[in-house]
Amino acid sequence: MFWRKFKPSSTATTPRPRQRGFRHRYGRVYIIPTKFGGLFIGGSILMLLIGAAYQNNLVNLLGFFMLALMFTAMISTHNNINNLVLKNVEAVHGFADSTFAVAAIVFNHDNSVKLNCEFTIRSFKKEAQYDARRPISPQTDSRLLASFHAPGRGLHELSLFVLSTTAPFGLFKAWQYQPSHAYAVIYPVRSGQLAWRKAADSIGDGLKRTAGAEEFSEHRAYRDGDSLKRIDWRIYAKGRGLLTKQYDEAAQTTLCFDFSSLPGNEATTEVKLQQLSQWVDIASKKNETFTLKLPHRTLGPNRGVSFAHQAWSELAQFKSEERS
Amino acid sequence: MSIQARADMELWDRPFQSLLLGVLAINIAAHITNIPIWTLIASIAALIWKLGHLYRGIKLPPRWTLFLAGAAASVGIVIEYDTLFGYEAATPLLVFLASLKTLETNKDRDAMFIIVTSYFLLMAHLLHSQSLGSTMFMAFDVAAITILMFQLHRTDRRLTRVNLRPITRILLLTVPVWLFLFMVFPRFSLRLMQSQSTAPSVGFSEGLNPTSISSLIESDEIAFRVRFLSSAKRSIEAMYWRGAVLYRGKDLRWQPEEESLLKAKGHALESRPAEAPKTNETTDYEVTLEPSAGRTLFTLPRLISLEGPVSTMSFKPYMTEANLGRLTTERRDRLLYRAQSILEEFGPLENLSLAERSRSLLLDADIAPEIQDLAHELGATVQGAPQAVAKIEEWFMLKGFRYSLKLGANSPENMQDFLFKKKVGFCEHFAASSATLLRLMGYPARVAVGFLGGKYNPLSSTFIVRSKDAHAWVEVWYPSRQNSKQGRWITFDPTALIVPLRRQMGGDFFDLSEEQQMQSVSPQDAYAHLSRSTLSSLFDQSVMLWDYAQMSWSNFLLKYDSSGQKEFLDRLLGVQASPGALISLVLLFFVISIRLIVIWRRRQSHLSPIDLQFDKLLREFDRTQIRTKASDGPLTMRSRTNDPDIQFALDRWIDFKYAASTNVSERETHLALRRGVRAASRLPSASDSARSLPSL
Repeated sequence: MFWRKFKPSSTATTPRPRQRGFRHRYGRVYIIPTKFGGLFIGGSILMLLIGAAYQNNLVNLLGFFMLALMFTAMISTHNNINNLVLKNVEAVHGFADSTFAVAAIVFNHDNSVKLNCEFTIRSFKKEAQYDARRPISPQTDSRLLASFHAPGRGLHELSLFVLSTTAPFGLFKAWQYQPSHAYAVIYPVRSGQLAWRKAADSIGDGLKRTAGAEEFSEHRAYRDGDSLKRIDWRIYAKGRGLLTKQYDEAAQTTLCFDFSSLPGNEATTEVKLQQLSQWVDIASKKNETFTLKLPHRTLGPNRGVSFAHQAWSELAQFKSEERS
Repeated sequence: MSIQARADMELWDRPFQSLLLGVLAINIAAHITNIPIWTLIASIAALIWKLGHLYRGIKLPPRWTLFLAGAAASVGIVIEYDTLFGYEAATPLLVFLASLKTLETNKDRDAMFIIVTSYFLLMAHLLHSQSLGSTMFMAFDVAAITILMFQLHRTDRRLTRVNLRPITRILLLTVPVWLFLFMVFPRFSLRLMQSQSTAPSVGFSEGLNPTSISSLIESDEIAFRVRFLSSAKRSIEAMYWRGAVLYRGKDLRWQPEEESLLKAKGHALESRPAEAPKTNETTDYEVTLEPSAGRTLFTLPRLISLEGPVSTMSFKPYMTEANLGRLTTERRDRLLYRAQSILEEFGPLENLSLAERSRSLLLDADIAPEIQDLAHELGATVQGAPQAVAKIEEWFMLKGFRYSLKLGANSPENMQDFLFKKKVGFCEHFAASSATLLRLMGYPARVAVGFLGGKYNPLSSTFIVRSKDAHAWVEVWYPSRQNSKQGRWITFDPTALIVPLRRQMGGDFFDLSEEQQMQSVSPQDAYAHLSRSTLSSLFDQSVMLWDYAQMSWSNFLLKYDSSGQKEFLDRLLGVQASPGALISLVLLFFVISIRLIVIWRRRQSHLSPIDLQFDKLLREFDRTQIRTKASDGPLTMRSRTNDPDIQFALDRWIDFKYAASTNVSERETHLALRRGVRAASRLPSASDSARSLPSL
């Protein structure tokens, strides 16, 4: 499954946000005027001053309308975020120095539709918000999707969600804090000096190819992603559909990405992890079977997208002391 | 381009931008008569260009040209108005800049800018006009602008009933708050600015020349409305609304005396006569004056009291020596004032000062000998002003003088031409000639200009005086028989003798053709000529109804100033409320409103008060990690805390919710949960306490 909810596994690389002097009251709605709201208040006060200066009651009437609208806008904005609860977080992984997407599942406890809700996560720089203008129907779950900048490799706790809205007029911003137990797994950057082909041919650079005779085992129905080379075209020509040839696992060519075999020392751990991350990516794309060997843990042999994510997760949570 | 930027672009759909342009166009249209034509054309051109861009893909101008155009417009407005300050100069600039802004509008904040500008354009319109029509326009416009602001924050921007339901609800909620603020929020007056309108709707001028009155007569504009407060309502014939008296005559042209030579009698309240007149001799009336340039307050003859203007206490009224109502400062907005006049034949006698006497007998050196001979001839056989007046009337009748407004080539060139050759003219000719003849005979006289009569609106019990009611007449000094140094100024209207209908019908007289004027003997005959179809009558009634609404609204706006508000609230609350108390009342209103809304929303919620408290408790548990997953039950959570209040709250909850039979009441459970929430809120967050994370 591409989306996974990660449970905390080890000490987070980034510390939880410190709350100095101000303690967030979860579920409590906070509200302040936006810049435009400030302009609007200023405009209405200016109108009242002009009304007083020209002794014009109609201008006063207009100024009071704007103030009254501010009041109802404040109540509407407050209502628009009230009774929203963060139910779940679907996430959450990505590569360092790029963006990672977070889907917040929000439940609307109210009997009215909520407009223009979005969310941010404390300590994470928001890159984009999607579907912010989609209304959230009453008594239903809704998914809000946003992307954030991934700071660095590791396991990051997404502890504090801020649900916010400026609907219906953009005059006020109301928000509420929602706790979360979700984590984001940020994989190492996919980069390395050792080219794939070159590395594949040279033993001892961390990437080892175990060659063996391929022995046919059985046929199975074609699945998306299967290599075209493995399709049994003869059977297809006979009109029996697309079947993929399966070979004995042991006999297949297996790549081994070995952390210890990579050149470098303690100081170049991150470089080595990035190299391994790149190879995992290439192997995943080529649908090749590989084994990831870390000092205290070995994954595989296996292949496919799901296994690649498992490997990247291990690399994300890798710690130097594991070597010892 | 980022996904967010792309999303923003998609939101800038054509229908929304068209709506934005439409609302802006409506607000610009409201200023058609108030801004220079070049500004209007340039603004419309900018809007058309934008429409062309939206629907035809025409390229928008580069940004620097917009800056250039804005700067050029500012220079043009400075040249036109000599300033950039004041709303007259600011309005065209605002109109043009808002139009230019549409040419670079592609973000939400640009739309917001145009929305705020639209409110200010509306305000500028209200500074120009406070009519009922403007108020209705304001109601429509604020709704349109607010809907636009609401639509800006929506994805689905179709103007369907479903989409407009939330904004309708918000607007309906806003209306009572709006009215409350308007009625209760304390008023104050900065007394800094006044209208600088250059186009007063009533073109009354304090002077007389052969065309001044006849040009006013062609206009149907309302000059002012009068409501008689006392029962002694006057007939149209007795309603001479004095605006100015003219002393310096040169043939048919007359001018008022230099103001510096006239002394003010003092403010209205100080000028009351020592001996109060009987109520059946006085007339109290309230005048709502339409915007006009000048300081003139129109009143009936023998003015004894003047109060107000109600809405503009900074502009003090006073009475001049010639018994005219004036304002200390020129004002061009609508005014409301009250006055009291006494019937001409009643009240105390006045002294005629030497200065006033000499002014009223002043003669032009160039009066034709023929006119002087006529005056000597008429004056030879008369004794006293009343006889002189009667002699002049008799002479006009005997010589076959006619009244006509359509003189054309027959227009008298001068007084001599009028009196001895053409013998046809209108009120100005008759008044100027009569005053000159009276002065030549040695009787103090002056020309008075103003309005005569008015049209009665039974709905509002008011007389509507229009420009076409403009009139000129003569005031003659009638000395007392007992004491020649004392006397009264008496109205002498020579036109009324020639055409009694003019006086009896007021401005309606001018609706008659020349033939009808000649044929009609009585007002009944004349009105028979003016009889209208049912449709026309209905139209007239509608006009009267509209005028009634217009006047009621105008008077309300004018009266509801700081003193009007105080009077209203004192009566409503039964106590005298200070501004501080009113502000407190407003704040209290907001607090109570918010509280009521919270209570109402809780009742609307599907959760009971106990459920709501438990929900709060769970949020605190999430924060403190007493609940780590959604499936954690109350017993599990209870095992993770040692706080007695929280444990008690959970016990109560379990008893209330799950026990087969329990004595725990709903109230007890609610209170226990509240204590639990308070206790939980005191606990530190999970992030504050060190903890290790379980493995993946």
